[in-house]
Amino acid sequence: MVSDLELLRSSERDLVWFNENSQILRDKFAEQIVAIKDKSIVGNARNIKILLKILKEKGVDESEVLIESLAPSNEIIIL
Amino acid sequence: MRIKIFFDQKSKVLRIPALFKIPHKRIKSDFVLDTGSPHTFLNYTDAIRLTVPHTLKDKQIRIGGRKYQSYLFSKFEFTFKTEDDELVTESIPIRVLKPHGLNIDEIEELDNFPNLLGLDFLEKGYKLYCDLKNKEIYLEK
Repeated sequence: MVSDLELLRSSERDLVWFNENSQILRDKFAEQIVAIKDKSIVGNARNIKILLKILKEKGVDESEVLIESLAPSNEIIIL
Repeated sequence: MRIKIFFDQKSKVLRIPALFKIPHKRIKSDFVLDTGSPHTFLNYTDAIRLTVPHTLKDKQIRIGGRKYQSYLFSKFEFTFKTEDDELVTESIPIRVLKPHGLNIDEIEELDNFPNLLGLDFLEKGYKLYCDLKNKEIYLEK
């Protein structure tokens, strides 16, 4: 089992990669949610239930991926 | 002790990598720091991943013209990594949003809603330092 520290280190790397590539990812996966592991997309879908099914079919442990949603390029998030 | 915060320049949000934990399960995720939110929220996506139960009804939350029911869950922990590569675990009652109906648009909209780290977390004694220009952003305790 991966340690908490190692999982957080990989989370940090994946988050930096996501931030750096968010424009390309937004163009490719607009309005979808994506699963990121080791700086690559390991699954994408319109909603979480479908994404979890895809990850299970691929044998990817869903607890060890970073899941992010991608708004279209012409949208901004106001919280 | 400092916890680094990452500035997402495209979305213009501040993100903090974290592990979310409930008894017997943990997931890799992240928070968006939102000092405009009084509470910390777990998004619908991660509530499903963690199988957080929707049992204890809390306030109704209005977002973007839509109203959602929130549920309170207290057995929630999250762990951050400090700049010195150490782990910090905090516990806070978290709120989960659920759509009123089964409208697919509402559910997919909630899928897009980030996890929010709200003011209740800062009330635990964390100071927020934010220098966006020099990309020096962190929480300190």
